[in-house]
Amino acid sequence: MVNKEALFSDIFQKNSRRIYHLCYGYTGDSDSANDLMQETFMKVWKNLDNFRNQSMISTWIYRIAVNTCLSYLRSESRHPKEELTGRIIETEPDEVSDKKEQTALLYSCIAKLDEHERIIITMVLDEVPYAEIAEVSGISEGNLRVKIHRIKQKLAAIYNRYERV
Amino acid sequence: MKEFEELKSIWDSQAEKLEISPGDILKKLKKSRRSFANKLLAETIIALVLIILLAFIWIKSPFIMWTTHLAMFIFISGCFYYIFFQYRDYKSIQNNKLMLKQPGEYLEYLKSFRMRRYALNTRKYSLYAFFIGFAFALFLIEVYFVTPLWQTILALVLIIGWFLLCWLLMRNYIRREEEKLETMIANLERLQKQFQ
Repeated sequence: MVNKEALFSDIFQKNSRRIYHLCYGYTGDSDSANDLMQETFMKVWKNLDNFRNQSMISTWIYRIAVNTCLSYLRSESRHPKEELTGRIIETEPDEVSDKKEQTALLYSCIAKLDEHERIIITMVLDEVPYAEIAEVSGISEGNLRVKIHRIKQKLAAIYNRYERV
Repeated sequence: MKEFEELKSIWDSQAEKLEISPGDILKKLKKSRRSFANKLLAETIIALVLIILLAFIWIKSPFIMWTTHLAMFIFISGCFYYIFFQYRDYKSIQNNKLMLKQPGEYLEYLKSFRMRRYALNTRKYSLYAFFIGFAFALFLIEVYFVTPLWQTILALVLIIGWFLLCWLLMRNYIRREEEKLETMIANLERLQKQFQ
């Protein structure tokens, strides 16, 4: 049990940042991202004995995180996301740094993408290898390259549109 | 105008607000007693206790009419019917391998699970209520012969009143569930298309 806890703690330290990014990108808000990340790692703990090293542990955790995010959508309509307006930036103009504003805007723009695009782009931004993204999302690598190219363009276009607001 | 590479540099410079530690997760896991799966298990255990109670009454009470024996049989079968579906869903939720499926397959599972729960809470409940009502009617036959008429009428009124109340509550519940299910299925199907 102690070994399992140590292993879990190690897995958490190595993967929590990326999983948080994925959840944040998917939901568009930090609180929900923390909730989803917590739920993901609870499932990781419950499934840890079943991990058989057929794939990398990160791929395995990403798969759990993606499915947890997809389950979240079922109740998403009850929590409408904050509309993407200048208000996000204007609420605390003196307190929030430029970088924080840009990051918040970037996450808001990611939340404007389709759900599968959000999942893919957050993994791309975190430099997850394409083969791993393909395995997690269940999309062939060939298809994925085309999709990633389109999503990058789409995200940049959304960001530039709202940066001017 | 920013290119994707500039967005990547914004991404890399972010500072996260991670509010959770592995210790918090383990603590929460230990405390977690109110999950949906545990609720299903608790309901199943209650139904099992009810079966034992009904079986005890059936064995110990000197029922004289075959209609009452049939009523007891239907009551107990109704409980088993309920347990079967609850237990099946409990096992389905506890199946850890489902979380490791590819998104397309996982969404298919979510869709079928939600539809099954809807069917259990609506159509199967109606069937269940019909059989329980029928069993009460059979039970009342013996009550009619062994108790004064006013007690039979009182029992009849209480049972009919109870079923009317359930029917009214279920009518609204089914309408709400239908709306929720339609939205949910539409969302899941939209997501499935994205992962094809």
